[in-house]
Amino acid sequence: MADQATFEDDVMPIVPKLYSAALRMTRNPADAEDVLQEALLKAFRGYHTFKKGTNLRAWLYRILTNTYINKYRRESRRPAEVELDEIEDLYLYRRVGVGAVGGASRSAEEEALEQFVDEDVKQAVEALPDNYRIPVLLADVEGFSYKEIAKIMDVPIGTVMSRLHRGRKALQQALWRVAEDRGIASP
Amino acid sequence: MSRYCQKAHQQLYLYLDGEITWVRRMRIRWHLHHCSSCDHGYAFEHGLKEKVRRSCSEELPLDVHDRLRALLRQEFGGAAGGE
Repeated sequence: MADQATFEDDVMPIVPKLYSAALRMTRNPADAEDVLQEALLKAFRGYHTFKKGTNLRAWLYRILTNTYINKYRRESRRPAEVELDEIEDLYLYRRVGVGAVGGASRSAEEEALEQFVDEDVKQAVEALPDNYRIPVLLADVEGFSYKEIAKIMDVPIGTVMSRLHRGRKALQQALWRVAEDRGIASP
Repeated sequence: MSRYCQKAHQQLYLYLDGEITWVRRMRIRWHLHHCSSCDHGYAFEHGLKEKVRRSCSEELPLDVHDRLRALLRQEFGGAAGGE
């Protein structure tokens, strides 16, 4: 059992990462702060249910994710799963022109990726529907394992894996659209 | 594409996410060492994963930090005072 008296010391070091995740979920600073406030209060009030020595980060992300979903769940236009399943592997890689050069050096990948600025990537991530965006954030940005993500989102591991897979495909497609819009796509 | 390439494709995300056993990991490494096409594909996907991580990480603004801390202290004061 965790003690409310140590809550601030235990949790404040994790708050910057939680804010970053909240911002990517809600897509704007005011809502991110709202969600984070609500999640922190819930966490504080429920801190006696947290088992000391278990995964505090995952526990907090679970509360944050639930708070966000309950507050903002809306019908989002989401690409049909079949549609995403048809996107080939290495979708973006095959389009940005790295693959075209037979003897491409290893840094050619880095160069191809440098075409995308942070804003492009954020935009592409934020364009994903919740079902895909959340697992991608938890895996790629926060570095959680599939098992942890399954617990945070309260879904089976298989679901995490398929959403992550589809989410990444959708992300690559969104990035490619950004590339085309900004005219950085090679013809 | 050989069957080894196919396997490498199938296990791409498991590998990048650190979700496969050591033995499988070593098998993939061996394949990547011998197949530059898969090696480049893996390098690109690895770079993209890293890029997503870096691009999506934000600083917590100081004023937001202070407001959140004040909220917790207020809540803690209330909880302690009520006992």
